[in-house]
Amino acid sequence: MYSPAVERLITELSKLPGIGQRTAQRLTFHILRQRAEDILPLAEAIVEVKERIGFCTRCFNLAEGKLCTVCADPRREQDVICVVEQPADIIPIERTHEFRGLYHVLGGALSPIDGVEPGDLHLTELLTRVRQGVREVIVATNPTMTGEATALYIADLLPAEVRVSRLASGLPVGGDLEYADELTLGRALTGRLTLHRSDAFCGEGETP
Amino acid sequence: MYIAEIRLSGFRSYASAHFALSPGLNVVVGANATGKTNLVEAAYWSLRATSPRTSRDDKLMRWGADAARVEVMLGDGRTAALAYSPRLGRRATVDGVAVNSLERLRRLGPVFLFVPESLLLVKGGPARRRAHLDAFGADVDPAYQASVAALQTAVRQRNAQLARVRAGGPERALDPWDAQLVSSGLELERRRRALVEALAERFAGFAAALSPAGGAFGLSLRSALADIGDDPDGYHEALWARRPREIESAVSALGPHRDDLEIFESLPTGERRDLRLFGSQGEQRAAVLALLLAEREVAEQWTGQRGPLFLDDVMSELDDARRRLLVRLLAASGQAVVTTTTSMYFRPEELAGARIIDLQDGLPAPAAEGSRRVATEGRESSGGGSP
Ligand SMILES: Nc1ncnc2c1ncn2[C@@H]1O[C@H](COP(=O)(O)OP(=O)(O)OP(=O)(O)O)[C@@H](O)[C@H]1O
Ligand SMILES: [Mg+2]
Ligand SMILES: [Zn+2]
Repeated sequence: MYSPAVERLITELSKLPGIGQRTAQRLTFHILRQRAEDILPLAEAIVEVKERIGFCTRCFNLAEGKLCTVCADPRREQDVICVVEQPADIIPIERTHEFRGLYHVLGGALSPIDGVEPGDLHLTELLTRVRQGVREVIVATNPTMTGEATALYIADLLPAEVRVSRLASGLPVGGDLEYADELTLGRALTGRLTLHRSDAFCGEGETP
Repeated sequence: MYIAEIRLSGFRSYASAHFALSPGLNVVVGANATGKTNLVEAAYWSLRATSPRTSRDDKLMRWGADAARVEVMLGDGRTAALAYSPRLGRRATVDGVAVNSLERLRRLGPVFLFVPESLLLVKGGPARRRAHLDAFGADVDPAYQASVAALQTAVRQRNAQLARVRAGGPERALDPWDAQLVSSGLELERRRRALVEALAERFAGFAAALSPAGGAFGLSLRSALADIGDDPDGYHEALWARRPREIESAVSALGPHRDDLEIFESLPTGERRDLRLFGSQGEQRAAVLALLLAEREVAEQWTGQRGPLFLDDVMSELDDARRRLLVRLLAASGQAVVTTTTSMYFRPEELAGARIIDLQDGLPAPAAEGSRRVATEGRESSGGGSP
């Protein structure tokens, strides 16, 4: 219907999350109407981000080199790891200034209905890091059912001598960590709870 | 909460109509096919976005109309409106503001409906009773709906994980989903138990009074978790014991999602006679009415609101003594809307305090001074319309 170049742009845009065929078409025509100097920076930004930013080889946070800024900072406590679902979850935790350890990004949460199983998360890498001398793991997955299930799986996975804690209450239940405000999140971090292993986990959320 | 006014357009037999209701007893009188059931269905639909008569909104549209719309003005000045059209789907507003969740409608207050189809509550399968109980729970317990949703999610996730384990995935991936099923299952079970406990005593009283042959009636939650009680370890162990079978079937079969609400008669021998299997039509009807009356009292106790009660076509099935009893119960209990083919089922002194809504076109209402029908123009008196 359209020329191959236009079709290609529509196809590429419609691959983005939350963008359907119709939105992709609208965006494409918007782009076509723009002056080159207004729209080319978008293309350049995409190229730049893909050329320069990758994942930290240690914690899977976003990184410009081999290591992310947190892993590269020698002042961070090396024996405490905070486990999060996505790189975006690190930002609000950093803003609280409550946490001085390192991170580990899982790349999602367990959700069999979406086809996400333990093998799809960076769990083996977490286990390897923990075995190399980590004292405490704070599981900061989202307070959703998938986040809770993931937290529990991690608690069962890690060696018994490692302290495993979960963010305390204070977080909006059913919400995403990414959208939590600093105060709530800071309080949740200072009041974090020890995760009981295995089935004793039930009712954890009711502990004040 | 009560409904002060209701406006219908394009709803079933109503092209456009407007009725004012009293906060007490309302009697809707009309011959067969004059729109009595349609009227109470409309009121319920506007406040709950669902009808026990059909699961398809398009059936509610008047034949040839392009949308169905019902608006209710409540006693406290709030309004709720629900519209359906094939093009826009279902659209709800509260006080003129679009809402997209049933939760917002629920917060307006509870509402109770009996239509002939409600007998399926006793006669039908467990899923219907669970759904009814859960809908009532959501009306009176603010955390109830979230716990129903959590259990559903846990069951779906666990079933998906069971299927993956069956396909060769690692079995330990099931553990966190066992835990989610246990925690959300016990949570919902606790709420359900409290609900049924609160209902049971009141139900017994109403059922005994309304049932044709008297007798002792009861209500209880039938659950495979009954032995487990509140003990997560017991639930975990039970899941563990079934694990091989459940992996094979990829179905989580132990939990509140398999509960049933047992409605029974207690025999003098101590045995229970399930009304679903053995109840007469009259006993089954009495049981559903008793359940609704019990729910209404629990609603008042838990939320401070009674909510309107719509009873379609129940008078004709009751004997005179039970009619008197029912009217007495209703007259003392907030808003009730009762439909009937003839006002003869009511005593003159009962009608004197009631608002009569006469759907019989042209015919003067038997208690004309009580009639407050505002307008029913365009309403069809029989089902002559073409689809
Ligand atoms: N979608 C629709 N469009 C138009 N008319 C409809 C629609 N659905 C039902 N009707 C008609 O509405 C009429 C009245 O129905 P309703 O069930 O309200 O009667 P009723 O007064 O309760 O009668 P009964 O005493 O027999 O129970 C019926 O004749 C039926 O054909
Ligand atoms: Mg009817
Ligand atoms: Zn890193």
